[in-house]
Amino acid sequence: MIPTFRTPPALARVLAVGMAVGLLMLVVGLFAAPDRAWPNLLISIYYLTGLGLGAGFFIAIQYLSNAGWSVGIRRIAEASTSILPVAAIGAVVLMFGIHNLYEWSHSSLVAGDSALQGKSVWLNPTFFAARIAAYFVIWIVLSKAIVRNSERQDKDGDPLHTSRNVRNSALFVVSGLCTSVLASMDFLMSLQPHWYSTMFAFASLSGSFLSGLAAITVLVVVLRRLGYRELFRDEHLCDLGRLMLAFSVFWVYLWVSQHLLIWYANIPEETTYYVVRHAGSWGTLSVVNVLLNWAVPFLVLLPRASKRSETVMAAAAMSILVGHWLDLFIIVMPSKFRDAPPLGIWEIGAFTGILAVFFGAAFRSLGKRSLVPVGDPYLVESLPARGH
Amino acid sequence: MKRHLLIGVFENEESLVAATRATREAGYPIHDVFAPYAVHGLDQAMGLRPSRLPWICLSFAIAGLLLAAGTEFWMGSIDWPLNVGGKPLNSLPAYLPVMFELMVLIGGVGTALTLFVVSRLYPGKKEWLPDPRVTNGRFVLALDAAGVAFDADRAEQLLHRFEVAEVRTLQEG
Repeated sequence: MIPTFRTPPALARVLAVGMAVGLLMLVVGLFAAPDRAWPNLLISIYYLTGLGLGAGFFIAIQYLSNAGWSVGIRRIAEASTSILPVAAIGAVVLMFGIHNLYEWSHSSLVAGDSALQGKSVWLNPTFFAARIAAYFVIWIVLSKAIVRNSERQDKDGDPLHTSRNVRNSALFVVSGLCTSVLASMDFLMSLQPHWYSTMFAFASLSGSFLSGLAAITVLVVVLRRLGYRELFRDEHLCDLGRLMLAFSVFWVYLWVSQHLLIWYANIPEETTYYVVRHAGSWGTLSVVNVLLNWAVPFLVLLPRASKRSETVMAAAAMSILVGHWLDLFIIVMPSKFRDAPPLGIWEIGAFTGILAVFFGAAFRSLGKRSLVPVGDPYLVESLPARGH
Repeated sequence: MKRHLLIGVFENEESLVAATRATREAGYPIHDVFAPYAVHGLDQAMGLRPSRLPWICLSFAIAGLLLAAGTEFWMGSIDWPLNVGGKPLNSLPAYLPVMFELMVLIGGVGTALTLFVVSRLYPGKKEWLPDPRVTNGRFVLALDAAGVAFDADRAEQLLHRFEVAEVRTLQEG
C-alpha cells in the first residue's frame, strides 16, 4: 500500500515564510520600486511557467515514447504542473505593468518609430493580453487533462487512460511547443522590440526544460530524504541525472549558437544585445550564468557515482535552478538597467518567493493523490529493484 | 581454441542474473554470459570491474578538442592569416564549432575503434556461440569446467535452483 504524503510541518512552515516574504516584497516593491518590481514579477512568472511547462513536456515525452522507467516518478512531474495556474494569476497581475516593461505599449513612442509601427500589428496591448491568455488556457487545459486521466487510472486501472494520454501528450507537445516559442518572444524578446534573434525561443525554452528537470530532481531528493527510497529509487535518480546532463549541454549549445551567429555577422542592430550584456558587471554575470547552467552540472554529473548520490544531484539541480533565474535576469533586466545589474533585496525576495511558491504548490499537489500512479500498466517496469 | 565448458541455458533474464550471481558467489569460474540484448545488472552479477572505456572516450575527446583548436590557431593566425570581417586573427568563438565537432567525432570514433581492438573484433571474424539461440530468445551462462577443482555435478545442482532450461557440457579443441 502506498502511504499518503503529508508535507512535514517544519517544511510547510519554511515554505509559508518564503511565500510571505516573496508576496510582501512584490506588493511593497510595486509601490516603492516599481522599476525593479515589474521586471522581477516578469522573471518570476516566466520562471514558474517554465518549471510547469518543463514538467508537462517531460510527462508528454514519456507517454509518447512509451517509456516505462519514469512511471514511478510521474506523479512528481504531475505535481510540478500544478504551478501553471499560479503563474497564470501572476500573468494577470503583470498585464497592469506592461507600460512599465514594454516600449511598444506606449502609443506615443510607437508613433515616432517606423520599426515599431510595422510591428504594432502583433505587438499591441490588446492582442498581447489575448495571446498570453490563450497560451495559459492551452497549457493548463492540456496538462490538467493528462493529470486527470492519470488520476482516474488509479481507481480503475484501465489501460484506455494511457492511450488517451498518449493522444493528449501529442497535442501537448505540438501546441505547447508552438505556444511557448511565441510566449518567449512575447514575454522576453519584445522587451527590446528592435532586437531579434531566430535562436532566442529555443535558447530560452531549453533553459525552461532544464530547470523543469532540476525541479523534479529536487522533489525526488526531498521525498527520498523523507523516507520514500523504496518508491523513488537510485535508478530514477541516475536517469534524471543523465537527462539533466544532456539538457545542460543542449542549453549551452543553443547559448553558444545564438552568441556565435550574432558575433559572426556583426550587424549593429543584433549586437546591441550582447554589447550591454558583456560590459562590466553584466559581463561577469554572463560568465557565471554559463558556469551555473552548464560547466558545474556538466562536470559534476559526468561520473556515474554522482548521479546516484542525493547530495550531488541536489547540488547540481540547485545550481541549475539558480542559474536559470540568473539567465532570465540577464535577459530581462538590461533592457532597463544598462549600466549595472540591480541585485538587491527585491531580487532576492522575488527568488525566495518563487521557490517557496513552486515547492509549496508541488507538495500540496503530491498530498492529494497516491505518490505513484498505482493503476498505470507500465508501473511494473519502473518499480522493481532491477534496472531498466 | 580449447574450451571445456558447462553450459546453462535460461529462458528469462531474471533467472540468468540470479544464477550468475549465485555461481560467482559459490566460487565457480564464469567463462562468459551470452544474451540477445544488454541485460541490466548482469555486469554486477558477473563481478566485472567498471569499464575503463569512459576514460578512453574522455582522452580521445580532449585530443580532438586540442587538435581542432591547434589546427585552427595555426592555420588562421600563423600559416595563412586572413582578415575576416575585421575580427582578430585569433578568435575563440570562430574556433568553437570545429572544436566541438572534432571533439565529438574523434571521441566517438576513437571509443568505438578501441572497443573493437580490445575485444578483438574485426571484419570477417567467425563468431563462436555456445548455443545458436542466444541471438534470439535464450540466455546462456557458461562456466569454465576445465579446472581440476570443478565439480560439475554440484554446479549443475546449483543451476537447477534457478529455472535452468537445459544443462550440458561443451568440449572443443
